[in-house]
Amino acid sequence: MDGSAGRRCLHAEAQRVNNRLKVLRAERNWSQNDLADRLDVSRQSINAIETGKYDPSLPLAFRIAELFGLAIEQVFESPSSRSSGAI
Amino acid sequence: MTDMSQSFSAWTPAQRRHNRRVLLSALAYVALLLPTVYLVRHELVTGFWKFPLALLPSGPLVCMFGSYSRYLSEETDEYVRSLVVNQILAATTVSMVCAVVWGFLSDLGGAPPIATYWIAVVWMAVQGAAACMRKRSA
Repeated sequence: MDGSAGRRCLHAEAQRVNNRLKVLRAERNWSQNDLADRLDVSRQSINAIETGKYDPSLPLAFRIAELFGLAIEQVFESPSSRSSGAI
Repeated sequence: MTDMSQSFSAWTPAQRRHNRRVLLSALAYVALLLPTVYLVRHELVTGFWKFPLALLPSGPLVCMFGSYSRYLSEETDEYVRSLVVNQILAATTVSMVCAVVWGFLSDLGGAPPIATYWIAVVWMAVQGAAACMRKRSA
């Protein structure tokens, strides 16, 4: 990997939205399948969101937050606030 | 067997409908292609009727491509849809590059011309390979 490709990867990583999905799910003893059924999405979607491979759309992010009874920013962390150390 | 049943259950309802449409199209394609080739190669059909006959096998393939379009509008799982869009993007890029490169090679470089339906074959092959690679890495 050359320098520019490496920088692009690091930049993409820095732009990823962190989330507490795995922790929130574990607190409720839900499997990925349970959460997927409740959100009407596939299990692979839940896995991709939890592992940071995929950032959900805003409507799905709201549905996730509403399911856990939390505000969206209590489930998802903005990349900009992470880099500025706000959270 | 467990792995296979798990991978079947991992398909979304829209994917299952799409797979059924593609399978039916593929069966119709084979059912139409073989007699069409036989009739044309043995010159049992000549003149004007060769034209509509030659179009017959393309019908199921048109349906197959239409099924991809329909699938993308039916798929409600945004992550799965994004994966399929990436597969389609890879397949379109490779097949268009092949079409352009071979087009210039045959037009200016003296390479033998090939039937344009091979572009669709390349598209399908790359799309399938991209899907397999994605499933392996998942």
